[in-house]
Amino acid sequence: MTTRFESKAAAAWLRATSSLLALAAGVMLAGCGSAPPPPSAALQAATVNSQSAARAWARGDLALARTLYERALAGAESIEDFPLAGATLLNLALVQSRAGDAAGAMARVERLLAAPQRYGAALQAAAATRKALLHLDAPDLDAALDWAGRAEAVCTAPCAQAAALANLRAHVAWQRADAAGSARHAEQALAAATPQGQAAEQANALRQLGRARGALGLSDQAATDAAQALAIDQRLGLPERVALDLVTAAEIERQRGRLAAAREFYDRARQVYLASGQAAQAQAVQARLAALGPP
Amino acid sequence: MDQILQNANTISASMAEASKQLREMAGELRERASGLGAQSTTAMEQANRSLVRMDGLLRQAERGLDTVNGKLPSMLEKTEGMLTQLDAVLRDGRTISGAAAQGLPPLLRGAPPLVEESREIMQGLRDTWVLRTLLPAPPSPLLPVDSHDAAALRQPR
Repeated sequence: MTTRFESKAAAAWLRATSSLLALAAGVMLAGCGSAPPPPSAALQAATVNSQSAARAWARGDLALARTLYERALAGAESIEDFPLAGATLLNLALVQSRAGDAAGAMARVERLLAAPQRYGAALQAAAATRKALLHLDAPDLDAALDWAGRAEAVCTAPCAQAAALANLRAHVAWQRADAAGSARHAEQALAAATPQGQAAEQANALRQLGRARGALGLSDQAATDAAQALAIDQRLGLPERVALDLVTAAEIERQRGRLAAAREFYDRARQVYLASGQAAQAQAVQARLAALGPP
Repeated sequence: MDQILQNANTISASMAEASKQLREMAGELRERASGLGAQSTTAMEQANRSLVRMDGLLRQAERGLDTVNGKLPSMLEKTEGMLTQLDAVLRDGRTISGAAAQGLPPLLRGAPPLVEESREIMQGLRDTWVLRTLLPAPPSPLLPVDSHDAAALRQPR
């Protein structure tokens, strides 16, 4: 009979031994070479806080993500590590905007934009893009387009934000009832996202392309776009975007009079929203489902 | 209970020599790891020779423990997983220290010091180039700028 204590003791010994052996083997495989200096303790601490914050953000823990990014920012600024400080400012802008603190988010971005000599072109382009997105939510579509243009002006090819900026333009065009313009920008976003491997942005573009093509009467293409977006977002495991893809697909089916298919997509979207804890969105979809009438 | 302790003693006996050498190697490795960056090529070669000896111990351990044999490839592939496992070792080590059962074989009671060595070695290697070159590059500190970040694009339309 094995007691839990004995099992744990034996397991501990085995794991300790195997850890050492694995370490040794790993070192052995490394071979020889020159030694870059290890990062300072201060930079390591700031980096660890930044990485922990990113994990908190991924879990949806906005409060913890903000706390940890604040620590990372303080650490980076205390040693004037501008790349880490700039990235952290932008991350804080994202976290704060998601938490509903648009003014705070804008202040973070402004701080970065005010010191281009410190943060460099890549972070300036990212900051200008973030500012354009914040204006989109204001909503101030003209300002959003203005900052999108500034971001494109400082973003060097291949521009990491090109797809996001084209998707932003597609959204603005859609808001202004310009389906053809929206489709054109969405196609540009798709073309920019694909070679850079930006799968999520690729799906964003396909989703918007499906909406725009559906409005233009290109139902078959639109349905294909929505299906492709859905497949990507399912693969990436992004429930909110999966639901949006399903709503888009439902709208396309509704527009071409296939109400049974539209109901099915709406119902799936509702289920996804419910399963991912987005009750308000589920209710909104339920209202659209009800508006289709009885099956 | 007796049977288990006997089994544990059997394992201990078969691994005792390996463990002794492992401890010696651990001390040596720790010394070398601490000043690895500044050492000459000669010192590196010495370190590598030491590690070849460690490889011999590894093979010995594999013969004695199927667990090691089974886990090692995946541990080498997933260094992050190894770090996590080390944390578990530390926890278990504290459990052993707290219990301090008389009936345990000496080698098992010696697990905490071994664990401490693991931790020291891990820290030393984390700070030197050899292990850092094995780890994947850390993710960019900048979260991706995604058009979906805008609340306007997250609403069903």
